[in-house]
Amino acid sequence: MTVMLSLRDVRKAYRSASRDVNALDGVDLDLPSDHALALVGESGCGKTTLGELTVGLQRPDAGQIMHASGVDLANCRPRSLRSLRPRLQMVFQNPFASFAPHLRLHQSLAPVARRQGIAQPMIISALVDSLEQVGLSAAHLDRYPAQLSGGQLQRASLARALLCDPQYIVADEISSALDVAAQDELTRLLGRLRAQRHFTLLFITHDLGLARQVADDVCVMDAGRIVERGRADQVLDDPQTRAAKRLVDAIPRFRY
Amino acid sequence: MRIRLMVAAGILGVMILAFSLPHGDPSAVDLTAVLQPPSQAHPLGTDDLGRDVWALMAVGFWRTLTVVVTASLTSVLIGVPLGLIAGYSRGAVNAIIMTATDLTMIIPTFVAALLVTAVVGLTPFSAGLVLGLFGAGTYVNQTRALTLSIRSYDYVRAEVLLATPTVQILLRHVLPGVAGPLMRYFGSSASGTILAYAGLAFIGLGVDTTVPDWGTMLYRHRSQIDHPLLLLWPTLGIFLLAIVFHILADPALRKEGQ
Repeated sequence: MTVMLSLRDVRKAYRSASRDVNALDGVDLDLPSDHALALVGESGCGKTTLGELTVGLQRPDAGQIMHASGVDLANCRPRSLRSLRPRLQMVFQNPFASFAPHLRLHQSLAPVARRQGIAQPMIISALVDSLEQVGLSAAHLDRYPAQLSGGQLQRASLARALLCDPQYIVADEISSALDVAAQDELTRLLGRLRAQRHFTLLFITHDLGLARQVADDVCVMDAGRIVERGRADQVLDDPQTRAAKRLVDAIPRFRY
Repeated sequence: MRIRLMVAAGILGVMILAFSLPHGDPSAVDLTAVLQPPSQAHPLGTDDLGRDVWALMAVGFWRTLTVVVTASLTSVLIGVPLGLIAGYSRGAVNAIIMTATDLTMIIPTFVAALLVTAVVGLTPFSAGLVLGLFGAGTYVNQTRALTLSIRSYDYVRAEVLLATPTVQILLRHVLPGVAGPLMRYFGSSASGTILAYAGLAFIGLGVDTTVPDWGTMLYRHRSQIDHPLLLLWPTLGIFLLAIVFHILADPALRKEGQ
């Protein structure tokens, strides 16, 4: 099992005039290749910050984020970071903010395909392929983001990430804006895509039920630290920490 | 709302058309026909030198329009790119651009224009260039503020992850978001330019009476109390043109608020 990303004592604080917030308070984490890890925890526990650090959207105040290629995302020069892009991808929580509102879908996607070295005459068919992989069709290419539903936009975001032949995708609460049926479809899709494309997945959620569907392992975060890690079933059936117990108790269940 | 816009566009259209019609020589002096009321030969009458006021108004209109276009282009072409760069890069580049901007902002535009036009002479082009240059600071500030907020949107951050070149992010993703809100400022700054140019000419930098400006006309005729029409025409011209630009740039704001 090779490790794709390895975080050591990662710290990050958000400072403001009134107070400092320790978003991450010393996180150690290994992300194996071709592995799905769920990051669960309550709002504000540092999940999104951790996700953004692992794709280089932010830098930590201290610590190491070592990529398998030997680049330390926490301390490297911008040029080294660019060399890892665009293979580290992220799908954001709010589908309606994920695409430029003034561009049709094909206008947003075509430059990505072009930079991947796809020849001009092949671009449209490459875009259609990538949309079909996520359950959309050529008909969606001409739409503006406002003409697509939240679920469709999240699929389009996945398609955009897949165009980059990603090694790693952070899915940050990607289904929290969707209804239950769309949520279920999206998580199933994510599972299928992983089986086909073998990218490492960091699945950020506050829903342990979803985490079990998607992920091999689960990490529970609380107040900027990882407090529990284990197989998804194990954490769900036998939570060890208070934070994990609270999340397990929050899963809706039928009552008889 | 639509009606306001159409009326404004209509007024501008009529002004452009009317002032494009052939008119007499604005510098033709006729001392036998001074201070005449409007007539068939002189639709707006004549001034104290017997010159055709309509011809003076027409020349003044085109000169004012030249100032507005020159000033706006200068401000936008300098201010918007610098604002985009400052807002997106932060760091040292931002500090340099903002310091330079602050320096131009603390010098009153009108005073700077007064000094420069006093040296190189008041032509519509020189006035437009100076007014535009010193007006660019506000464009830098506005563009920078908008860029700072747009760069935090997920669709811009997604482009960073997609390894999109920065120039392309700025032009394709940030600029369209900046353009709408800037349009509204564009209108009021164009109106401001019209007033500033009239002010420069009135103050006497346009004392060359052979090249008539609306501000020069106000200056020359300010004592002609018995012939208020002579003051009414340039005032009306300045007022209409300023308000037309103000209204035309307004819908951008309203669309945003919907």
